[in-house]
Amino acid sequence: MTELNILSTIFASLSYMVIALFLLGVARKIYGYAATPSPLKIPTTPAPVSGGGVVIRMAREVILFESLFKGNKWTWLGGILFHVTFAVVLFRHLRYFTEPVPWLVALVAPVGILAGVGLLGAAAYLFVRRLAVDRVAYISSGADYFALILVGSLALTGLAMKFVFRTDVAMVKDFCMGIVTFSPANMPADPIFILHYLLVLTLGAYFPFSKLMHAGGIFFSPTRAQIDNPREARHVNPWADDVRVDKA
Amino acid sequence: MSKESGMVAAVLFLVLLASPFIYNAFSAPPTHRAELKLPDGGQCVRDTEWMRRNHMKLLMHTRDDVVREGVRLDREGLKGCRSCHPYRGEFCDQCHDYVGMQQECWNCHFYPESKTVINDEDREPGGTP
Repeated sequence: MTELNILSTIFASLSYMVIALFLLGVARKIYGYAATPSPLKIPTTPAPVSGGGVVIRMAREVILFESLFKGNKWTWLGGILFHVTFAVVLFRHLRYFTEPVPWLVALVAPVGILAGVGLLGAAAYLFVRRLAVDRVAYISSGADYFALILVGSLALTGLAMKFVFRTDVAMVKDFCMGIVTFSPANMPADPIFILHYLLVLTLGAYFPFSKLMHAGGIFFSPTRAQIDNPREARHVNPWADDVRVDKA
Repeated sequence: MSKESGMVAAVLFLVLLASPFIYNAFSAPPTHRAELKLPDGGQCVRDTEWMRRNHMKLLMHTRDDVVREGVRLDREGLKGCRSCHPYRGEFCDQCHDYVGMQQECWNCHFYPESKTVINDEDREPGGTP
């Protein structure tokens, strides 16, 4: 086992800081979402009248982006492409963090490259949407552009590593396995890999403090997550004054 | 929702997100790494650092030369690899299995896996190849 060089020491330390920041940051946000009471019963109707129904509705929302589909087909198209390809790309990256590599991860690998191309395309499409559709441009802020540029750059550097500036993949795996098993190993000193990894760290550190938290927040949206049972079960606003309720 | 349910949700998410780390903490540390059997001495057609990153480009380039131009550069093709690294099980497969990257070469090309196992098709459970 060779000594950890300076570059790898810096990046291994950064990795642990970002992992801690990400985990605790997301947990803190989730706590905030879950602990905040909803004063009113406001599920968007027609809404499910049982808990199981809410699970199904939420699944449709999270997996298919149902309400976005009803709202705007073009945005839905870009959004679903962006998220599905991102998920496939993430899943493909498990091959760097698992040993032995599960067969499904190995099977997905070639599709993952295609997904990477799709992700870059979708990020570009959504970016152009923010610039070109004037109503959207009006409400777009720096954070909106930043998130898209960040993920787009990630896809671009990832694909560049696949097709142009190759890196030592076995060494990348040594490094990644070192991180997740708490025994850091050296990383390849290729500029493009360093850039890609730096972007990953940026994403991880930025995630809990940004609009990207919609990934967790969606599950706590009152209009989607509430059961439509205002008559069956009385909804109590926790900060309302105690009032006497006569049972009929 | 209440503070308690907030705590429950936060802990649940934390456990879910950190599950790979928790899994690793309680499982045996992976000792396996790619270990290539290298020939004594000799020099590859390119330097090692370059080959580690770009060998697939070289193989594809050689393939194009052979198939489209009719120029046979065996030294820079699979035959060249085999002349120093006779078994892919000790060479190609090491890294490729390690990073979960399939090799499509063996669908057409011959490169024995080891001295006893010639190719995957010959490998039978419990039987001799």
